[in-house]
Amino acid sequence: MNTDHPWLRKAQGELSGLLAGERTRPLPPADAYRALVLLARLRQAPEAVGVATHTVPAEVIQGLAARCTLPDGEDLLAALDGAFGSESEPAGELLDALLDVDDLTGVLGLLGRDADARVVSAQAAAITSLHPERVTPLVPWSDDRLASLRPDAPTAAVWLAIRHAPAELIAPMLPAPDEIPPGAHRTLERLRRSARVVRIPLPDLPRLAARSGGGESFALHDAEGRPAGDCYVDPGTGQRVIELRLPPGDTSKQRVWLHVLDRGSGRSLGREELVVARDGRDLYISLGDDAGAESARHRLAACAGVRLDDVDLELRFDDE
Amino acid sequence: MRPGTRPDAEAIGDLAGRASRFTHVIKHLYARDERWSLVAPELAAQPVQAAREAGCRAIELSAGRSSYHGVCLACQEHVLHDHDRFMRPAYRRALATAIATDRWGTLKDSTRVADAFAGDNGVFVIARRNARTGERNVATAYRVVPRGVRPDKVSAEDFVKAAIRRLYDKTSLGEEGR
Repeated sequence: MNTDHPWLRKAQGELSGLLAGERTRPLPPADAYRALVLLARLRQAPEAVGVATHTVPAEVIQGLAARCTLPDGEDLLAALDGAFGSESEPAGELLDALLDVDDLTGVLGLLGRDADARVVSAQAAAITSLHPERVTPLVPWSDDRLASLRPDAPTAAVWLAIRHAPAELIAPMLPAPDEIPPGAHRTLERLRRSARVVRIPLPDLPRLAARSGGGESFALHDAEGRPAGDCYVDPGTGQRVIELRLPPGDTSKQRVWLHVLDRGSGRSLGREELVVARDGRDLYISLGDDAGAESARHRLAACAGVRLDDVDLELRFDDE
Repeated sequence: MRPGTRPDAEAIGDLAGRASRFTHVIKHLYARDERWSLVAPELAAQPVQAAREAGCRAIELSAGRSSYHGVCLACQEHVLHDHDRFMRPAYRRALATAIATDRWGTLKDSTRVADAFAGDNGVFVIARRNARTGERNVATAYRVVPRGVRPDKVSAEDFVKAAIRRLYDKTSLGEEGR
């Protein structure tokens, strides 16, 4: 019987290829381990998904196990802990670390070391439960992985820890305003307004150009005088970029506006939302092409009918 | 670009921002188990030691603790130079060869705007589209450490296979990746 589950169907196909090669000559260690991983995936599948039962003799499984070096569970748990701490792309090394644990616990179970598998899986689940804000992007993977696992499989524990991450931490994953029904806008706006407004004055233009035109960066400070980030011209794009490091756990400063301010009263004469890219805790705010009239500040000044030399510039976060 | 549309490697920007490049070099290019010397033979045999000689302090090269903003200028420059000289060419090659050999797929996360690539040099890349600008950049690039084989016996081919297998795992879980 063939399964419609893509993950398991792919495992079946890949395993058949590896075992066919094994009959010709013994698989090298990494391939032997992969064969065990794939066998474990198929053996752990619930009956309902209709996986063909692989009748691989026990001596073949033992032969594959003898040829490879099983990863050390402690090493994989340390790697998982490190991946949670790095705030990197979740589908990158973090998902790799979870899959490494999944692979090992499956193989341990396949080799009859169920108790060892449950210990590794439980420890991985414990580590995972400490980082709910990091695992929410991985919920689709965990749901799908759990659909391909028997509920009592040792491997299930870590994926269940992801599925049970606190729901309120999924809020930052909500869609952008233009993707939600009009009725939900008011709630979204209220949530955005509740965020603290942070202001970062920018140096006047001649200093801005003189201090960061040559590729070197200079430090910016917020309105209270605290270090706020660096400003430089990206040599690759010619765009002036402001780079900030957000406090741990901060998910609020996603929208940034550039304001032109009346120099006497400090009143805002106009604003433009800036392009912001985020990578973990690092925020990259583009002020546009530094050279000419295409920059955000030139557009703003033109709209407000003022000369740039006569106004101050300021960045404001979550200012709605 | 819609999910499933064949990407254009030239249209995908490098790792965005100095901080991200700095972190990737410290965490991945300098990681002994990722064996980047197999991809970039010119890389110093002991890149961490070379970075220390260039002015980085040991704590500044700690993968979990280091931050671009917290290190001295000499250390920033050395590490970013290593990105430009060794890491960028490797992940650019990975993007190009992955697309040419059809070893890429859309990741199934909540945003559906990320693609993964397994290069013929064993470098694994994820590129993500900025929802506002539409621009695509490399979000991460690293070498998937092969499992089941002793570290001193790992070959270049093992890294290539490990990257391809992770690509298939990540893009086939749950539904077709594209």
